[in-house]
Amino acid sequence: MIQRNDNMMITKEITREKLREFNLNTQSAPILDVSEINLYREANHILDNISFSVESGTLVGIVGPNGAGKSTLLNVIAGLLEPTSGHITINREKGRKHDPLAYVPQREQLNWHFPLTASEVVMLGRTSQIKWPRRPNQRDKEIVQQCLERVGMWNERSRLLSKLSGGQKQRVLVARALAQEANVILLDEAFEGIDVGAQEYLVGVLRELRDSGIVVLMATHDLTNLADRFDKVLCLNKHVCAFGPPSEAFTPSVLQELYGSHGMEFTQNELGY
Amino acid sequence: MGDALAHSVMPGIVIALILGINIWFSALPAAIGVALLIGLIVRRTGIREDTTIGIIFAGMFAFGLVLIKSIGGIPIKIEDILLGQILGVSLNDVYVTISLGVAVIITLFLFYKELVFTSFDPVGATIVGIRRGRIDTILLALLSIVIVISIQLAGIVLVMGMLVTPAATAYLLVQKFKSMMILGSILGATSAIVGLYLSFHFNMPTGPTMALIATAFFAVTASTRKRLV
Repeated sequence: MIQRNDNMMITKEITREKLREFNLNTQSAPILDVSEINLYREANHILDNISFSVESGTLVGIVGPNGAGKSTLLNVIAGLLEPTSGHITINREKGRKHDPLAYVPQREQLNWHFPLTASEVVMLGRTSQIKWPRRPNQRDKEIVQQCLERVGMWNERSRLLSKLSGGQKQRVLVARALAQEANVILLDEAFEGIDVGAQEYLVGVLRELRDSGIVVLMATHDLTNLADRFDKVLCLNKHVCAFGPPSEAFTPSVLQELYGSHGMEFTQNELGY
Repeated sequence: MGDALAHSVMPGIVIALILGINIWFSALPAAIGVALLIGLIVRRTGIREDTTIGIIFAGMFAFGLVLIKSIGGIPIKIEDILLGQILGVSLNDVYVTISLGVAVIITLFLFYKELVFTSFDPVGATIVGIRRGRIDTILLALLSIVIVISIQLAGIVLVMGMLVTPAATAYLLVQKFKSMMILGSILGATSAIVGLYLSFHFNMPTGPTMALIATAFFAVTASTRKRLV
């Protein structure tokens, strides 16, 4: 905890600087604008007319049952899947797929046994910025250090990824996303397989990023303490059932639409408000 | 994949011997062609990759054997193709091998990050703008080159011993990926040199002796470690 406070001191400096940069760049316009996204797979309507926009510095949870299209929506936003119709604007630049966006995939999509240290993983985030002769320079190294400090993993920088706990692994991946200097970070089921304490720590890290102006979108089927964790929730079941602050979005009818008759079993207490 | 590529160059080598051309002109395209074919079959049929590799591996190897038997009168010893014949390597082959070896190392150096990123996290790699198809092709080409180099040394059957075993030993000994690459190369080279001298002094077949030394390094490392990773 003491180490973390030290890191936070440094983080605040970076945060203020970033915030100024963002205020200049964004002038509070939506950073991410998803407009009328439809996706068909053969005859199946996977995503049905999805529209929402997120302003800078918002922590959004995408919730819904299995098969609701949460991961698919993230893939479309990330540019990995082409929607049948509709468009996505990031930083008000249409069709700019790569740069301002970073993605933390689901656990099973990564090869965790690949022998990389925490700092090597974060340096991968610099890949597209590193130019000829393709070796990281001092600035890249500084950015990697700052990013590891922001997620409280600088002291673990030399440890192999395979030796870290589930929560620490997720924080390293968040640091890698930061190293891409992304304005939008997508996380797919980042709470999967990590204990509640580690989840809370991760949420703390994501809040700090949110405070520095970054948009964080996390798909999760874990409904515990949602209201505490996210500024807004996007309730998804192929279409947008509700989008807004958790206290407004989770109405009995929305829960019923998401989870059928079981929806009513989620009490307000469980959802955290 | 390496094993399939190694066995698949068999018809390529036979064709080169029949036509009297350098094996590079037929073995390398054969290896790359087979790798692309495996990808195509997996995508088209949905059959698992390991099954597809098994099919292609056996099919190409059988084709090579049939080719040797049906076209008589060519001075081929099947044993040389299967087990390698390093002493039959000409000075010209040595120059070609050195140049290709250097080319492989330079390519690895230039595309290190992309190759590592794609192996560790293919989805994340696509998002940062790495073209996966291109990186897969580069990896495949490198693997094919290294296999065809090693086949002259250790033969089709034992090439995997020289390709995989030193790397696996290094994996047990060191933790970092870069150290693993360097140590794996040193172990491979040491196995080759030690194997060459031992085979010369004790009149043993060269390729198998080299592969045996590499295996011995692995056996000693694996048994002396308390815990295998």
